[in-house]
Amino acid sequence: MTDEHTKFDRRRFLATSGLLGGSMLAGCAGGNNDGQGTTTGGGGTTTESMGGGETTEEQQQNVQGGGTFIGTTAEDATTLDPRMNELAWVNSFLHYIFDTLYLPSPDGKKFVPHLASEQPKQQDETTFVIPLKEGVKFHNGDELTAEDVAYSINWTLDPENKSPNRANLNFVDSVEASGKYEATFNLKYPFALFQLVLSGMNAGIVPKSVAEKQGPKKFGQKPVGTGPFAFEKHVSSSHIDLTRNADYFLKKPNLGKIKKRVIPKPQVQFVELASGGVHQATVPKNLIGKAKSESSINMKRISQFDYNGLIFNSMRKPFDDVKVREAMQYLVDYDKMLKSTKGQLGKRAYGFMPTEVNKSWEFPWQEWKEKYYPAKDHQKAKQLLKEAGYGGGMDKTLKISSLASSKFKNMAIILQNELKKVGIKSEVREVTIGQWLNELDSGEFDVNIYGWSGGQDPDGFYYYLFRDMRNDEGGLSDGVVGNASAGYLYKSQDSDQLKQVDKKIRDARRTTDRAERKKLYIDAAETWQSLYPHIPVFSEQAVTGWSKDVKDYEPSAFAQQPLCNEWSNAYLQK
Amino acid sequence: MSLYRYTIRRILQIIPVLLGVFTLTFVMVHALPGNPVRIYLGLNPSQALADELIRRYGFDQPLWKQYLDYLWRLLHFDLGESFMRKRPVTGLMLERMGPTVILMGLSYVIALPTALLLGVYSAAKHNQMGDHVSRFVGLAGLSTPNFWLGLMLIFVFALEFKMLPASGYVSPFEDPIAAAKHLVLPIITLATAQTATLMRMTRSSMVEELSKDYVETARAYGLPERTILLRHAFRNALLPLVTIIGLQLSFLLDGSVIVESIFAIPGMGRLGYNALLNQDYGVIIGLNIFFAILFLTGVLLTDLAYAYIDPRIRYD
Repeated sequence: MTDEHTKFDRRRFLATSGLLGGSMLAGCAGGNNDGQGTTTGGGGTTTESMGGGETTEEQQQNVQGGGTFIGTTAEDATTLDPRMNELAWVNSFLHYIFDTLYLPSPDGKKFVPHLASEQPKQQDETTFVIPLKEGVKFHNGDELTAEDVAYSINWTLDPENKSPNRANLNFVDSVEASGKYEATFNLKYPFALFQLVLSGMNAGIVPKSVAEKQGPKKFGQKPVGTGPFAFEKHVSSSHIDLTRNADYFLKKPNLGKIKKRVIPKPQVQFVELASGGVHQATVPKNLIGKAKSESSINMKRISQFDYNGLIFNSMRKPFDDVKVREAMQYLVDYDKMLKSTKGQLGKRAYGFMPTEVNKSWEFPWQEWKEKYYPAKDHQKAKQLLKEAGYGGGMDKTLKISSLASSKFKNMAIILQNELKKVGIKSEVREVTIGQWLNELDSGEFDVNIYGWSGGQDPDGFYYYLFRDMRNDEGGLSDGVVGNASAGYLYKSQDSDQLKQVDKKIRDARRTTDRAERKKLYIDAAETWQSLYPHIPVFSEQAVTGWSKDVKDYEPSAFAQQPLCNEWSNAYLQK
Repeated sequence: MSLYRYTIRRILQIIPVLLGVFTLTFVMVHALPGNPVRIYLGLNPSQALADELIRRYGFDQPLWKQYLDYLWRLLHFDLGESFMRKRPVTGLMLERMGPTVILMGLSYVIALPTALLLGVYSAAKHNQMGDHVSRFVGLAGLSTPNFWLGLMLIFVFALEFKMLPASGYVSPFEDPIAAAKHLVLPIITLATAQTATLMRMTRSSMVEELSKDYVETARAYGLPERTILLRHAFRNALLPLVTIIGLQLSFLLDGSVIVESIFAIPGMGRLGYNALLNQDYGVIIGLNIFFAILFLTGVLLTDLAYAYIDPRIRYD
């Protein structure tokens, strides 16, 4: 799990709710919006191979001198300071202004030194020395040193600065400049996601002299970094302009400028792309056919690292009984729910993780599918309900809460129809984001429709949704009964089995051995699946489109700065 | 009472109305479930940070205290800070005012004469083909939702004919031609419903006037039809129209929210829409007060216009 993921989670969930409606390009701009309200950030999609490498001589002849790449996003940036930013697409976009110590390779399988000159040197279990490249310049001409690295991380960690990203770097105790070009990271405990976090924008490196002088507000309006493009202008809710950093330490970017336009409606983004107004946009589901007929557009379907499903309130009747929760698995044909909700743009999710995570970690998801996700069987559902004491129906009307999003509402209505067939009355309530959060905090619902993006590491799902928050530092706040899903079960069941599973989830992020982590996650997944605290239904896919005039560019989940990075240097064809 | 004293009195009356608007808005935004901190931080936030932000922005204070604090700031012309954007609300509103004022102003400048012309024409051709066509067009314009019309115009003129840009805003002071191109579709979208409403009102008002005895008398005296229509009937028909014209300002504000979102115009409507989604109290309250001032000014000007149109109207 990258820092982006830990950070994106908060915003991603909002976006998944359809309220932010972010329309972002994976890799380039951070995510995708299918017009139905799903957003993910960079790193929130499957690994795709990059068209890349250095620009060839032949290609170079076609390179337009400069040129402006115009991308789109659905929402505005509130700050361009990576230490204070909360938004997924901004985090991805900031990779053009700021650099990180490491970068994920295009296939996402390893971390390549970026501002760092080599892999971290481990001194002991919690101490890592990271040598830096020499001669890297900030946009103001200052040279990057270890002081800047230490300052950037320590500033975020300082509680006085109230950085919303502090929790994502909280495993770091401190960073020291142990030499002009050498930073030493002292961790609080071994942390499995150390390098992943350092490759994300929550660990973006800012120039100490400028950031200290300006303060976070001013710095967020006029940022200075080392990235391939320098900040030029931000017109609120309209566009952000970046200009080429000719002294970029990797290579001189081919593009002269990058413009990021804020266009809230995905349909309008697409029209802009098809009419040549922009070079990249999301393609809404209902316009994919039209996009295919446009000869000037490349398209790519990108799987999201998310899943959408149903949460049951296991703190109150009838879902306090595991048999009732299990009955819900038999009650609905979830393949059909996926098809009627997302059509071809989705995949079934198992083990509370998207298929891509299951595959990359080689989890036994097919066994899980057989064991915990049986096909629709109303007889079996009725039998389980009868065993739970609800053979004669229920004397209450179940409250199904759904955010005001067609995706979630459709899922809620399908469930409502199936409940009706077995004699259970329910009402579907569309709620605002504020109501939804209140309900999840207070447990004032029976079934809640839910979406979560957690990134490519299981930690993004298990730590955030399945740990017992009462065991966190500070515990739960007043008025919060759980963490929106499994948290309720911890309270209502309070068994040794669940205490163990909470420990495993916490241990997994402190265990650096991947095989050991995998085992911990398998144990956790099997425990939770047997308890049906919620039912994962599907992960989404989004379609992104870009102009064929843009060469040496392909959106990808893992490649940061895909318009200019180690592997590619995009240009506009003459 | 003189017009001068009447104007002063009306301006003073705006103050308690604004206080009422502020109080209602304040109570209503605080009655919404959840608070901006929870929405800002999302699900499963760091409780320490959530608590800190709640304290910093005073959300842990009793509502009456928050109200009085806010009112005090307001009296000092301080609308506070946007929770989401961490910037002063006044600055944000000033930044967004230009596009909205231009969009609304031009829409009105186009909608008003078009509606008056069509309305008068329709009334003059009462129950003839021209009247039927005008009425049908008016009804269609009134029944077409802004968001649908906007998207259709984009698909036709930007995607199919590639004649006009689909979205965005260019300041007329920077590039008048580009600005005009960018404004055509949003203005048509916003002006359509306004034109239709005003046209229908103009028509019915004119039809009523034209059926009065003085029109028959004028015709009997042999006055040209054009003079009867424009100099006599139209002037009398204007009085009810002026009321509607003033009130239509509020509908333009409504429309600007949708039109600015569709056409990606960085105006106040979009600022308000995003603020509502995120329960950004400062921006919601600031915009409501601004819109209330705008609306009350419209009503005031309407009342004052009565005197000009009909000197028989007195202010006591």
